Amino acid sequence: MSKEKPHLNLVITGHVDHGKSTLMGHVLYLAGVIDDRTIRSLESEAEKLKDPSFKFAFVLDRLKEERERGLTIDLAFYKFDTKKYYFTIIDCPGHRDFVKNMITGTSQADAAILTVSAKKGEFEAGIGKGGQTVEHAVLGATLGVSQFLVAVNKMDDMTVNWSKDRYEEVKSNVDRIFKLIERELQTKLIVTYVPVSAWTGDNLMERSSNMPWYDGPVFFEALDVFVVPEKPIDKPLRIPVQDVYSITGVGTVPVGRVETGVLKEGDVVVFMPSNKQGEIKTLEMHHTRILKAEPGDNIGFNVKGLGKKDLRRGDVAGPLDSPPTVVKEFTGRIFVIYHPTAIAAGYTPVVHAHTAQVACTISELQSKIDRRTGQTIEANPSHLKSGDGAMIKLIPTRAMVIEKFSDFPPLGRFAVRDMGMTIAVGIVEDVAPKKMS
Amino acid sequence: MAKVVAKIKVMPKDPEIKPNMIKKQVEKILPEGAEITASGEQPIAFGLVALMLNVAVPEESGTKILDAVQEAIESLEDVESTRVEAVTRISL
Ligand SMILES: Nc1nc2c(ncn2[C@@H]2O[C@H](COP(=O)(O)OP(=O)(O)O)[C@@H](O)[C@H]2O)c(=O)[nH]1
Ligand SMILES: [Mg+2]
Repeated sequence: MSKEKPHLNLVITGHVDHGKSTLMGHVLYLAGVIDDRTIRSLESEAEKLKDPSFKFAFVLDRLKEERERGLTIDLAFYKFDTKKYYFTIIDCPGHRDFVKNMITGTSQADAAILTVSAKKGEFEAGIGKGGQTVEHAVLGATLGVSQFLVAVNKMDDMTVNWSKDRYEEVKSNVDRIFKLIERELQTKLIVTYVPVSAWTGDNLMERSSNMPWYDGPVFFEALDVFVVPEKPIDKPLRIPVQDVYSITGVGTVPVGRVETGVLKEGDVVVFMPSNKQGEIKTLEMHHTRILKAEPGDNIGFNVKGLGKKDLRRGDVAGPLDSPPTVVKEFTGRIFVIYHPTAIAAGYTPVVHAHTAQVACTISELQSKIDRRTGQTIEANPSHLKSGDGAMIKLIPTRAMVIEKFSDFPPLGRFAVRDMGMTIAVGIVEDVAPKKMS
Repeated sequence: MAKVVAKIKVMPKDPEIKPNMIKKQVEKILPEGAEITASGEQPIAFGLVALMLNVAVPEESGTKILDAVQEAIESLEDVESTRVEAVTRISL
């Protein structure tokens, strides 16, 4: 596989049983990642289980075994290339708990595939209460993805029978959800729809003769419509501090990943909420001195005039004229993933955002929202339960930097944890800054 | 049974501590059910080298086991911090 092509990280999402594994397996096969002999052996394995439909899903298992034995740490268990790009696949775990790791992780998702079954009953379950179609679309956008490919799957199914009407029905319903997310997250999304059969391969690589009414791009063409996201270099600098070192012969060295903006030698930055300033003497990345760091760079930077004790994990470095926002209170648009009982005002779980972990008290439940329509179902609800969408206010129990999602997406998404579980995920809708002297 | 693989970045206490030294200790204290499937190193800055680990855990145990893995690694004297950079599901 060529490494010279631009690289895109693809997140694969979709309601369980809508055909994620089958789609990925078939795509990897068509991309030439797995040869004909292997696919035939997987076919006979699947037939032994009396479920030939597992043929393509088995591709993933086979590749997993190969890749597990490999020594690479790039997490690229599944990779393939198209004419234009080199893709690595991140398969979204089905267990909702792991959403926390996706939210606070550092690997950039560049685009997302949403697999939506058109099969009668399945599509409806996916967008119904408890369905993951809406949840995954929201999750993708929360991760900062702005380009989606929606594979409207199982077009071959008896209940669908390659019907244009059913495709349009699915498409318009999913499109309504994306329009809503655009409004709620104040972000622009590019969404492409392709009617496919992950099982038969129709419209994956070859244009389907079963769906002559469709004249848009087939799946592989649609992958090449993706663009490499631009780095947010024009925004003010934000570097959440991961660790702070005191290195002999060098001095105080915070380590972290540049999320937005640019950092150069000689810049003076302020660390919030510690509220300490310093001039950057030198920057290093991969042990090499660099003059300028950009979004995505993992760097260590030597700060003049500050001691190790002045800074801590969870601090965020930013420019003096646009310092990171320390909040008195913030408004979160959340989705309750799981809570054994109910969430009420006064509850104080731990909020994980960028490198910070701060206990925050829920001071107000403003409204309960139907995530499928965006409508407020209840104003000032007394409590929230698993599956609810809501707007809430939170007050950090100690000084904390968090930003509006629309200003700084990587610093504006958060996970709510308690009892070793992910209780909720959300984005920051608004912030009430604290006066810093 | 599906597994989730987490890519974990382990930062050393200081530049003298090399990834291999940490990895040997991690292998001894890894919680039951978690398994290192790959490892490597990533030079950071000013002599600091991070240990990179792919750790596989059963999906159904949720993040509890990942938290336990991070806690166990962070309890090592030579370790400054850990961070899960990415998670992906593997297999069906
Ligand atoms: N008829 C039909 N069945 C499909 C198609 N794609 C997947 N399936 C079936 O749907 C079920 C779930 O598929 P799978 O890929 O495991 O779904 P996942 O849970 O999203 O990974 C399996 O029985 C597949 O054979 C398709 O395009 N057409
Ligand atoms: Mg699957």
